[in-house]
Amino acid sequence: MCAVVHNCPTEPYQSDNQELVKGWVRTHQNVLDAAIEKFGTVLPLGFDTIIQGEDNTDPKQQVKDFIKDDFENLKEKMEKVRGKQEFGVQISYDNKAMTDIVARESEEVGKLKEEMASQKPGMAYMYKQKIEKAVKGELEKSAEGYFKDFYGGIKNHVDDIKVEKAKSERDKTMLMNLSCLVLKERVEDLGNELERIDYMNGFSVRFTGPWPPYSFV
Amino acid sequence: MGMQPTAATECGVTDLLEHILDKGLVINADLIISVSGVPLVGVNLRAAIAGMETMLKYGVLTDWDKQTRDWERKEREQKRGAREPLAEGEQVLLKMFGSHWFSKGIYRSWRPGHLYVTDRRVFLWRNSPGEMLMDIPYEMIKGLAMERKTNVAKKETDYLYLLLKDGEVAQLHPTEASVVKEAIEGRMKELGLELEEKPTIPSLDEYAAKFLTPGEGVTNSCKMWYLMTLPSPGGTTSDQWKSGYLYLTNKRLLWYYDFDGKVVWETPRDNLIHATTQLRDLGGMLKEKQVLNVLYKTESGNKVACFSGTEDEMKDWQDALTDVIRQRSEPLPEDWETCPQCGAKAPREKLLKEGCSVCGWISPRLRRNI
Repeated sequence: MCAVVHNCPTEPYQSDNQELVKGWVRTHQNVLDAAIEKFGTVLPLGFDTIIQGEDNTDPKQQVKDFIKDDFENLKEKMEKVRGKQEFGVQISYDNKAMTDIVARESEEVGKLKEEMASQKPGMAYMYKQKIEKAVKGELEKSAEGYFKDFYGGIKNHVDDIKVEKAKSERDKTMLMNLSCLVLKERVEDLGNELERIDYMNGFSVRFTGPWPPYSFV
Repeated sequence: MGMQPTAATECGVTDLLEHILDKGLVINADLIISVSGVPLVGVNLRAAIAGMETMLKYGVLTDWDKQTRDWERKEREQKRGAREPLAEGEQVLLKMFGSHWFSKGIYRSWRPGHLYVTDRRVFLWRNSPGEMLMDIPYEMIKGLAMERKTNVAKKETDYLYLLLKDGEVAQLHPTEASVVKEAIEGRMKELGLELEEKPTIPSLDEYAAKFLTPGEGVTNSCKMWYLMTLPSPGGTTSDQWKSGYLYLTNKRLLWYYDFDGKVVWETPRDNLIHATTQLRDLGGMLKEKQVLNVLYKTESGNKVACFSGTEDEMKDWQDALTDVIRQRSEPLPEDWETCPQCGAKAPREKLLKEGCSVCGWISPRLRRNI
């Protein structure tokens, strides 16, 4: 077992210069890519992880000690990720398309719309509110269904899954944000599964990687 | 051929940051540099990244979608969301954003929340911090009236008044007053409760309606004695205590003499210099009464106006006026802001969390949270 290190001052990297920061993180990623190419299985560390030499000890010695002391644990982790790669899977739906589908298909919403037609204008406001609420409820229900469906499908092709925070945009809602640990020979299966979802009306899939196994160490 | 992944090197910097800053192998915190006990990883680059993120199409880190991340949490949130205190079996017929005019002592303000019309009552509830701002059962309602008024922000909107059997009037400012009115009327009819046909809108503040100028709004008011200077026989003058109403608006301080039906004394807010209270004998039986002395600038030098009311009111007035003077003479404290709608000044936190008490403005964020 070995470590890829570089010598730097024991000061955190700090800058308000975006270009500089971007450069740093890209370099970090490039080093990892190179290490993976050369050594195969790598346990990635976060950017800005700086080992300091305690009481005048040599930082290099600290790293060596760390590997020695933690050897069993590190080895276990390496076994877990050996021959596997990390992929990011983000599935979103278009709010408008999804709302339309739900509004069209829901019986409850249809009934409310019928009732609304025969109401006085003032009461129509209340019906509009009711319909909006019903659509929202239906949307949540079907989102839950889709989540379980997709999650179940993806699970079959991967070794491990982490559910990350979903980030939504103005007109798109992220249904799920997953980090998946995948055996190299299963990546294609996962791609097929995701293609099925990507073709579904209103849904879009983002599939990124391979990443170093950041989420599984 | 299934879907092909986008290579890490071709992904945006956001994806990269997400992996590189928050993840990776965690090593013994004793070994690595940390900032105030927090392992360094990712912490100190936040500033630069925050700027980047907003530039990137791919959303902002803090804008998490709560629905899908964690189903259990969603359940919890649904439970928490239904906090309005509904009675067992009570049905909500209408829910709408609205404000209620709160008036107590010399203080007045619009308080925003959600207006609920249920099958048994009308109430206004604020979610955070949870508080019932108004709660009226249908049995209390005598009549409904609507009025189109120009608010402090110079915008014409409909106000809804619930005239109550005890003579009080609840003033509401819902998003759509006519809809609320119709819902209440409909429900009361169902319940067999009578409403006055065409109730006269009680003059909530008929005096203020007479003297307010466009864009002017009352922030404080109450009944108040004023030491009036009256001409006496022989070309001299004499001072006499008269009963009327003292008003502080966003423009001036004034005293309205209802007997004569006019404003007898006024000064612009900017001319106020000092306000103190003292104990004085007002003549006759009125011994040792609290008097509010207001020192103000005029073209012919500084003058003093004297007012008297109850002890509590005097203290409140002194505080309110002292605030006015302090805000004017000192630069605004750093954490104060002006209301974007009417220009009234208030602590930023208060403005953001409770809205503007003068014109009822509330921030979009508060509107979402209420």
